[in-house]
Amino acid sequence: MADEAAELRAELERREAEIVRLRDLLIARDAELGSARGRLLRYERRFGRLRRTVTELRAGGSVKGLAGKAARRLLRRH
Amino acid sequence: MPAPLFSIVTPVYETPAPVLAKMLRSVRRQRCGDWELCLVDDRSAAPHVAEMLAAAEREDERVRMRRREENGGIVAASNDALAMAEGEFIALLDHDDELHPDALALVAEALAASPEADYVYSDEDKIVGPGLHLGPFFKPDWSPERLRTQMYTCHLSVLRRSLVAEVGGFDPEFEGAQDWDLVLKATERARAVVHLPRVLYHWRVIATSAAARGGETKPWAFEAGTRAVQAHCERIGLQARVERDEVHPGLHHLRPQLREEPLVSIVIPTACQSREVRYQQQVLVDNCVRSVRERSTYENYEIVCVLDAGAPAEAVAELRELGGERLRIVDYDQPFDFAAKNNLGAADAKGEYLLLLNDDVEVATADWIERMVMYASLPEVGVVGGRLLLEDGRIQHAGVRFQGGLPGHPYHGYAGDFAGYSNDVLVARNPLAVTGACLMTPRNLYDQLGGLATEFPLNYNDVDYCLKVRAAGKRVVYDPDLVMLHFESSTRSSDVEEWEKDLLKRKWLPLTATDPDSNPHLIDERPKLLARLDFARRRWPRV
Repeated sequence: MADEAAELRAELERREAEIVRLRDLLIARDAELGSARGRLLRYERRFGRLRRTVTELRAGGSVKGLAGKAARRLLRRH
Repeated sequence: MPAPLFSIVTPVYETPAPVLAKMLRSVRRQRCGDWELCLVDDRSAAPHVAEMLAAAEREDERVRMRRREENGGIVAASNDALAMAEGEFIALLDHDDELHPDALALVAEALAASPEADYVYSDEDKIVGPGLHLGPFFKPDWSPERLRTQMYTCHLSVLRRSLVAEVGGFDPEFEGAQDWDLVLKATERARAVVHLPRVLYHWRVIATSAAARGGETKPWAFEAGTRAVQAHCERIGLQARVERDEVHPGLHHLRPQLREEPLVSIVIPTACQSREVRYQQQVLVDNCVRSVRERSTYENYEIVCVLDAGAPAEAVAELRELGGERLRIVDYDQPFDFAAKNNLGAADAKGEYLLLLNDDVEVATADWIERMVMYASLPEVGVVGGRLLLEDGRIQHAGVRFQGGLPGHPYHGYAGDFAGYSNDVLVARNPLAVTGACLMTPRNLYDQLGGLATEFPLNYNDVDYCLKVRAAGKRVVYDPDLVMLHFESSTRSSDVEEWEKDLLKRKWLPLTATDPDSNPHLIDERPKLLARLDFARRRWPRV
């Protein structure tokens, strides 16, 4: 009976240690994933800026139109 | 009002002929004509140097040159050039760089608008090829904290000559970082510092320049920079040891070296709520207090928890056990009001400094309290905050920035190792506000300003407080080396109501319309597309 209890305790401890090990692995994986998500977000924002420029270009009709708009803004700032 | 006379100080040594010619031409093409160019040839061996300088002197009476008897290094040559100067202001120009044609004219305008200015600096970019300008550095307005961790003002720097003389000119002890040392000394005494958000200086990237090779070219210069900042800290009584950043050349970190530890009161409003943190259900405040007790190296602190009525008894018992003799609990039985809860905790606090802490924060930096006290003990500093990371290590807070009068968290959700625009995540700064999730302020200032405004019961009470501090003439400090984990808004909704936005704008728009921690040429912390075309706006006067 005492042996069985000791065995059970040992088994519980092993399982708890395994849970801690697996949790640590998950936390480490979360950190890796977080880093990747963070980089992705940065690229998405950059892409968003590019997309806005393309949209402006399309709305403006042509590169020439956008360049004219840019030039007017530059001159206005003088 | 006539422009003051500018003395452009330029030590010259073995400058390639085409580069030297461009530097000279950029000075002679200044729209403002009230300048003199003080050139000192540090005994260059190449014959063209002395010949070109002598020719420039012959062609324009505003150009004056001296040739040293022997090579003495940049500090000796710069001091010789300073001795030649007769202008009211000194403009520093390196022998291989160029000034924007409007540089002195715009500085003169800025000085006319701010007659008390003793130091003016501008934005800058790099010349990487013929007519090719890249890497514009759009700087923030004057930030003493940033200058200690990064020589960000750099070029163009224009200083009142009397002040330069007062601080003894360039100090040979800091050869290689003599500009940084001079600016530190000058700004310690300057009545006002003005930032001109225009690219007025073009830094030429050539194979041997620091601009091209970062920390590899002159490691001794970075070491001199460390010593210059250390000497500055000692002069102003900032209790810190200065260390170089091993990864990012030119960046520095301050380590607190407190002579005494005043009592700090950590105020934590809480409802003892639970959530899963790292795959374990946690009572947030217990996790927070545990981390404070286990990880903090500061000795002299107390914890004041402002506890909502109806908090689970088990969690409260655990909290009492974790907090031990340092903990006091103040009961709060009103409807949720974050500002009122903090004010109630502050009223019970006995410390010289208040440290407002959210219960969903966890300590990551052992000397976090020391870091805050280090800055907060400066009389001009009213608030200190740090860098907060989300549970998975991404950035949650690196100072608050305003766009259109509303606050936001720059780089929110970016990877934890992201350095930011011009490394601004990694350097100390003076934002208009920091998050109240972890914020230190002197107790007497908190009382004087009426604490957190209860007209903002949910959101913006922290931002509003920081703006009150700013309006009272004190600085808000962001410390990048104070790192905490923030399990953000796990306790309530983070949605901001329209009326809160309107109220914040109504109260503070004159202060927040242009964020001094940012630059008009930046949008979402990146240079605007048109800002890159700044050089196109040059007007070339005939010479």
